[in-house]
Amino acid sequence: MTNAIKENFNFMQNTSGVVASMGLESLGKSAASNLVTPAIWALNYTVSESRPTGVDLGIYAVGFLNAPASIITSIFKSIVDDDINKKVEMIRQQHDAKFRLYIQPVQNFGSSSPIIVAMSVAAKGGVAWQGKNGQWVYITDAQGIPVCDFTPNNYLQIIQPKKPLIRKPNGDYEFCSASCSR
Amino acid sequence: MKKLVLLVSAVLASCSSEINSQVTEFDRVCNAFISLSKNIELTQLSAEDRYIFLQNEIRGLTPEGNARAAWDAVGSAVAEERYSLYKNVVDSIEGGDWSCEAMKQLSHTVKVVYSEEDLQKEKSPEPTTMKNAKF
Repeated sequence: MTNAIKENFNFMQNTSGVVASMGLESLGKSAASNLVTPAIWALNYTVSESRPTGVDLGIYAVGFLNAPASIITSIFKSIVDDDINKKVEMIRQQHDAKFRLYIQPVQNFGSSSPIIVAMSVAAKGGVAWQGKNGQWVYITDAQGIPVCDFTPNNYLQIIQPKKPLIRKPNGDYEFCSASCSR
Repeated sequence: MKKLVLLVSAVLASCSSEINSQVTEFDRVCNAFISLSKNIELTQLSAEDRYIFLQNEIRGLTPEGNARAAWDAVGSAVAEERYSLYKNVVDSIEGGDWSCEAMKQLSHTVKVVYSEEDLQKEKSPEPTTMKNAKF
């Protein structure tokens, strides 16, 4: 078994990228509640691209056909988590060392589709942004309090509270994207 | 191998139907705006009544679904950006170039009406600023 996994390590690595970019972003909450589906989808996507043989080996290597669903879920969840962690780390490295620990993936904040969670972060007064690698992140201070005026170094999209802060009757803060004046 | 092909096909079919149902749900939100734009009487509604009309039109959508969750989320956005933010959600999930002219024209004219439950909700703590944040 160990050898089989080793032999298919690249395949598993490729799969993790596909799962993260297709699975989570595409299926949002559904993906979070059942990571098996997007993972299998990603596997199949990888298959159609080029390597059916690799898939056979990879799937058998993790006992895909015989393992209980919980095991399959945890395997794919760990693959997805690894991929998210890798992308978050890349974004952290683009920022001052003192902020790095406090930049977190939006998956820590909520389980909806990442862009919807990013809006929830902003509605609570925080700044969420999508790094160039596609990962959505947000920042708090050391006490876990959202920082409303953080400016990320670079991003594809940003969602932030409007300044000056305007609190809605339900307690949410009014938010906007990059076009909103700071 | 045959077993695998069957399994993957079945899973793909379920994925596909899930994506399709999400598209339908986004379109249902769009259709609510189309109804609002096409009916002369409805266009004369107040901003609050427009919101109530839209909420009524999409009441069948599950609150946890992306279409409904996105609409609820953009309710706290600057009114002029509701459409672009909603479109970003749909494009991000569908991977396409979704559009809804009626929503584009009308989403900023709607005023969110909060339920008693919304108003009773425990307020989140105030955010901090870069000046006061402890890193």
